[in-house]
Amino acid sequence: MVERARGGDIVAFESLIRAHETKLHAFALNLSGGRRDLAQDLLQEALLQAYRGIASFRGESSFSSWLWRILRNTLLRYRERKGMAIETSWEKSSAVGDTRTPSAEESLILDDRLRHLRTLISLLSLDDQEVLTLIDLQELPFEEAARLIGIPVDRLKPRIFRARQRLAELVMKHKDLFL
Amino acid sequence: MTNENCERVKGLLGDLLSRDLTSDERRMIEEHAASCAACATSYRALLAARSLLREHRPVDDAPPEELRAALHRRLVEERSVPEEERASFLGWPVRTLLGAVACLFLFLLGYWTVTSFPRQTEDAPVAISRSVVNAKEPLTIRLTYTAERPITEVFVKIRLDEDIVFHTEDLSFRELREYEWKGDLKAGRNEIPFVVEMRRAGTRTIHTTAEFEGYRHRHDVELHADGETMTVTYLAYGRVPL
Ligand SMILES: [Zn+2]
Repeated sequence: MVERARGGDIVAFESLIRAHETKLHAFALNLSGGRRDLAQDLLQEALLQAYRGIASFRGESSFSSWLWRILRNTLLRYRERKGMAIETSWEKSSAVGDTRTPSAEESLILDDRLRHLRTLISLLSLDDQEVLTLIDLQELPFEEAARLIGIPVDRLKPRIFRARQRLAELVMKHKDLFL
Repeated sequence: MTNENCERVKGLLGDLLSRDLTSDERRMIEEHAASCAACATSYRALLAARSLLREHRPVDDAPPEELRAALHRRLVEERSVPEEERASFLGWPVRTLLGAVACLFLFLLGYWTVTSFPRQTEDAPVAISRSVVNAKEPLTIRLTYTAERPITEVFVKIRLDEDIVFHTEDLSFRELREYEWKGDLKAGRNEIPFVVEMRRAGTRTIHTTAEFEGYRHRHDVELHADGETMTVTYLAYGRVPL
């Protein structure tokens, strides 16, 4: 199947990603702070990149960690391109006195506080965001998350520890959002 | 005294998401919080954040169908538009003549070879799209050319395997195994629709070629019928010089 997808076979490629798409969709949603439209753009872009680059997939890593890296890099490029866009939209959506009801489209997160928490996570560095997304939002086992990121488990544990500390600092800074 | 404790308590609060605090540490925070409003609210906010992290349900929904469709469209485009080409060839599905069955957009049958991929050869096609339709109903296929400029002297040939017939009232047409079309393409979209039926279960192919400007472009539609349903796969081959 990988061989056929490598030759540009669209049907083969689509069935390859079918097994991963729910997880990737969740990653994209979490990486984008729960914003559905952004998540879909990211995912589509990442999968297109994957299709273009599948000839370079050598099977050294698992297909899912290869896809994860592409998705992560897509988000990185998005952040570079948009600069502070994520921050800006957060300021807007969480400004005090913002009483507009989120539409079903833009918020699958019914709990506002969970939405704020996701937004705070999306403000962290991509490294922090990555581990928090995989471990705390997606609840992957450490082994699987480490495999996806491509680091040993014993290096993942201090990373998640520090990432949660930085998240805690953000929560204290914006504690009004959680009271 | 309060300020000094504040610093120590803040340090502990910073760990609240990372690890379980000891009961001594918790007691220290709570005692301090009783007399320090700032630390008390930080503590409450962090406890809320911690339970959000622990209790939320991970997202587990598949991407919506429109995302799949949009991606498919872009994948096909990716294959279909090398710069030097002037025309692209679309194979349009597939709508049964009878009844309002959902229209299947298997779109874009054709594409040209993109240099970043190994060149397709006459014996190594790639599948462009696949869908499942009702085997008992006639199948409409629209060969669609989209041309950026007029192209003259185009020669299209459609050849049916045995057990596939053209679906038409005209009995003489029903006997045809092969249909040829010669003509010019106008700029924009040009359609050659035809309707077929599969007479028995099995795997059969509709072979199509389009010749113009020195090349033959081959696209096949493979029908795999197993009684109730039929799987329709669009296959594209590399173009070959005439
Ligand atoms: Zn204090």
